[in-house]
Amino acid sequence: MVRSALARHPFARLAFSRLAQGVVVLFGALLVCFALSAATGDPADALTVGQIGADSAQIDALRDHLGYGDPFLTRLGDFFAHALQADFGSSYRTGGDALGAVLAALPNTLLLVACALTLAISLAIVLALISVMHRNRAADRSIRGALALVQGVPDFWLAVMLVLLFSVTLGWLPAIGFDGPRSLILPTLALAIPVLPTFVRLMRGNLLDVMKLDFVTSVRAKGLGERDVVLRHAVRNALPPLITFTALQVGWLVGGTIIVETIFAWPGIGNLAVDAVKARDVGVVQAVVAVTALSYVLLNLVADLLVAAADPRIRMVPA
Amino acid sequence: MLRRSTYEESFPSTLTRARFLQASATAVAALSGAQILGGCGSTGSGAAGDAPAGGPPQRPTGTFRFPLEGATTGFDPAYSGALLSDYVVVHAIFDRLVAFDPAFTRLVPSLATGWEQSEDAREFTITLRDGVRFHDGEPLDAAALKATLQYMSTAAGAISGLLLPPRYDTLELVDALRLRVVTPAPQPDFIRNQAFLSVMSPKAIKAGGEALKRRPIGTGAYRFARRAGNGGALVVANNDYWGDGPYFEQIDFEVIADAGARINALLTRQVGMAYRLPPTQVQRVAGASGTRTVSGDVWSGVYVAFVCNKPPFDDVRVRRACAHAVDKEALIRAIARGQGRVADTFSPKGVLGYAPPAVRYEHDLEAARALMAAAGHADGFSAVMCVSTAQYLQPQLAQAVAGQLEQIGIRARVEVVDPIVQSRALLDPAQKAYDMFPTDWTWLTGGPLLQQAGTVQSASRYDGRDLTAPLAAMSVTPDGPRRDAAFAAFEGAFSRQVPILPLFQSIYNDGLQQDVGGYEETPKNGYGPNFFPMYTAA
Amino acid sequence: MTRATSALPRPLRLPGLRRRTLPRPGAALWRGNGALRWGVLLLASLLVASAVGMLVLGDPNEQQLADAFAPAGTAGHLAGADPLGRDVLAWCARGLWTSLTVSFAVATLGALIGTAVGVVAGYAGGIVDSVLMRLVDLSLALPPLLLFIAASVVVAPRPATLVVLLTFVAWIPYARLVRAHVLTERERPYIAAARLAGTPAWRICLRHLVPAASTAIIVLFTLQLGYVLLWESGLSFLGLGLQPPHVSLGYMIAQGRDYLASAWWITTIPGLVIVALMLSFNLIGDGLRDAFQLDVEEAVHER
Repeated sequence: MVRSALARHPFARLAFSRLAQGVVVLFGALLVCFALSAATGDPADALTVGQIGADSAQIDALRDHLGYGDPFLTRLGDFFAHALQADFGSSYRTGGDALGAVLAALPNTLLLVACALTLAISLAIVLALISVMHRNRAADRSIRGALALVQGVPDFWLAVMLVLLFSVTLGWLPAIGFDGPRSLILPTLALAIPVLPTFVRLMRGNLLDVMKLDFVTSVRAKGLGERDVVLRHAVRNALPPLITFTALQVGWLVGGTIIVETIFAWPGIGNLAVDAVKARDVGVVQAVVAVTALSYVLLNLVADLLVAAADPRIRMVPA
Repeated sequence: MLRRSTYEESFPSTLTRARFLQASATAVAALSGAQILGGCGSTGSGAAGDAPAGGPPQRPTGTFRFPLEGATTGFDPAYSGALLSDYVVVHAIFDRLVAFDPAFTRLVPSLATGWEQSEDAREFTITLRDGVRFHDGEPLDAAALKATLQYMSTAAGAISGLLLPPRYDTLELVDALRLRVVTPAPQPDFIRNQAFLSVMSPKAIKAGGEALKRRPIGTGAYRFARRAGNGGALVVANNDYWGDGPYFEQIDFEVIADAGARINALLTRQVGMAYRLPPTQVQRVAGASGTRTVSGDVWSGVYVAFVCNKPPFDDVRVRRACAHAVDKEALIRAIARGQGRVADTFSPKGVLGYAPPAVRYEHDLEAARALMAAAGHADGFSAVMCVSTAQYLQPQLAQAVAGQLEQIGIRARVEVVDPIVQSRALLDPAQKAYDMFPTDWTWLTGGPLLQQAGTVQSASRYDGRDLTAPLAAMSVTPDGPRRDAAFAAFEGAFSRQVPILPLFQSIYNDGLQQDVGGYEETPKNGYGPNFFPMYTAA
Repeated sequence: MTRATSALPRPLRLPGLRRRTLPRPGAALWRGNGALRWGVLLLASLLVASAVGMLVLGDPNEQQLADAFAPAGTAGHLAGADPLGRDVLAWCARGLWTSLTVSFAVATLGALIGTAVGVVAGYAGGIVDSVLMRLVDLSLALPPLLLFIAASVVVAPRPATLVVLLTFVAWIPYARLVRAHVLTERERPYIAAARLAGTPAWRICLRHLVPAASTAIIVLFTLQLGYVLLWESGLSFLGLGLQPPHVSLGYMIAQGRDYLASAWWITTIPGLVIVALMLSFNLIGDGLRDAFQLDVEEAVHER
């Protein structure tokens, strides 16, 4: 009965299959994250570092005491059992909940990513529009040229330059930390600018493609001007691929904010994760990977469903 | 027989004279060093070293923001010495029995107003200050000190194991404020080590458990308020502090792991201070308006430890060849930007335990090559150095040393690894992968701490009797001519065998906001500032 | 989503016959294509300059501590010297070559693995396709930098490990791209004919499907070369990239980051080299894409 119901509602079928796929991916991500944290070590290593005279027997005793001495498969089973209940243990440094620490830092990173993406998308749409409407003329060439140059700049170099210029030399903006809206500006720029060329290229390509389609010809035939054609009709149809691409970028950005968070001492999960790996805070590392993977899966799911809802043709394509 | 030795006589007379000479030499060297580099900016107007004009405020005011290099892991003083981030916070919350004077030449009273020590250094009587209370209201008395000493001796933490005897024969409460300690073996540095050990509240010790790590209770000028989510901490002023200070309403310790970000934060006035600036950034901070630098020789040095229990560095000729091949002056100029002094001994100058070396190895490539040939390595060999980026001045220093060793045929490859991996490899006696470990060590107490801890043997795997015998002797000999002889014997053997190559003694530079006062010289124990006298000038 | 077809008509294919799949690189490809010309020109001049530099300038790893931080323009150090006195220009000349080698290796390995995965997934369909695509999703779901940092704890950074790590990130776009092409291509009659004729699956994949996607692979390849370069400098910043004696641009850029205010040449000059390299790759990639009228990015993100 369910099957026939699903057969009648392709959208539901799509949603269901995407959900199932997401669960599989999540499962795999948890497996990898456990294996990784097992390979990098455990708090016993970190706590005994520099301890002159600490022999391996002592370290092993400490490891058992902390609960990392069991065989791999036992710990794996334990890990999954707890992870499914959203329990990643505690951070040996704070004594607090590992997942709690991650969830406390996550909003800061999400805020940063949201601002960066908003800026990047808005700028990309504007630049792509200008580029398309002045195709192959001076404005188009200079935009594409500038973006080609920007694309080659390492992102940490850009971040350091921004701080040097706007913070240290001019003193307009804070250099580190998250003390209010003004702290957002430089990190957002540092994240948005490197991805801007790709967004612009994608948007521009989509716009050009859409403008070749038949319906645009018919709209033009109605007598609408070029500007109206582009703004009102082409953009709306060129957006769906951008949504999918953006969802991809979000997943990348949330994990890829490490460099920017390091330079700006931003209290997000990038900093938290790097710190936890270095200190062998296993619970926190596992929680970060799990949360990142989950957010990627969810965001892609949402993006897919949005696109499918908007475009009836997509729902017909088998997963 | 109890010999009364007051705090002025904590150091034997021979050392006092040497210390005077060394102190004046330091002053001259520092001045000339500053002029050569311009690093400390002593010639500029608004000079980088000048203290602010205003004095401390009447009442604690403002928030002082201090950046930590890494997240804190806990505030139990028995364990907190291993990590600088932990120790800096602990240092603000607790007092110690004794302290060093600002010039770090002698011990002065802190929580202890007087102390006596027997001639055989087994019996100590400590007199405590009256009227001091812990942050939880408990009074400071002999019982509290006894509880602290007992707890620290049994705690498995790295620091307390180094600084205290594992057990006591007697811990006797002579009266409310006097404690008598008798140890089974002589403890020549017992009093000196108290300059590093915090006195904890007995109520907290009795409660025990996680609270000791999470909610520290001391007698210091600042109380613990809370730990921040990303590893920082907040401490607030203790208005009932028995001594001078505090002058800040609160100190906000925040984690800024990246050194460049810390300096940027200092330059944009987002933090009040940046501790231990990289030498290449000193000029930048000193030259900026609104910030100044403070520097000082510290009881810390940079070394290269050889792995002496396997070829090729098991041959002393090879080690001596390396000692001749390395141009320490060039290293100080290029890598440390002048912030160092050539060292030829294990113990830095100014630390009790320093004695002149028996042999000095001049930079002499011919001699080095001759020694290599004599050892059968005329064609050279390959070697691997192990460093981590978390170490001071690394990996540039390791690469520079490798470049110098190349000139005598040693093709040294520098492998950069994770700090924990490096530390583990350094102390693993059986490891085979690495031949040299560049490292830096800090003497936290001004006494022969690292000699007694067996650092030389464990880092270099050298266990010849010419080294181990004086090391054992100096651990159980009270201060005096016999102990000095043990120091001399050790440094003599050390310089002849070169199990570890000393490169230079470090000069630390700290950056401050121009209006922050009460901090005129980097503490010699190299382990973080003392916040109690610090203030923001009005 | 639309995809324009290739500009040149496809000849009739008979199973087993080797067909020429790349559109003949005629003069038309080159003449009208400014981007391609400029890109190739730029890349060629960079390579020539690098070769000349490696011959004329000395060993980039040679330290001269006395020359540490020599400014750009001093005698013997046209582009200045780094904190250990190594010549920046010599470093850039050699580093361009090393960085290109690493990029090439990573992009090639990524292309091989990704293409294999994409072809198998696209042709086999069904459960195999599902599993492989979930593998792709998994690789995207895990934050790569974090994995690199964790991996660096276990293994020291050597060129081989770096190539392996970067390949983990590099193969993904190929898989999706090739799969998208294969999905379209396998519906064509000549594939059905080949199957009927008894051609084994691997032969079909290798002889027909892969070449059908080859133009897209090439375009993606040129674009990826640049991204790998940037990845490497990002890793160097975190201390995970190539270390001396391996000469990499990323190392010099990361090292000079602390001295941007005082010794700008240490970061900026290798940085400009990377910008130039990236520019040339992008021009070439754009030119090829325009010539073959392909839309690479869309296909890469189609699920």
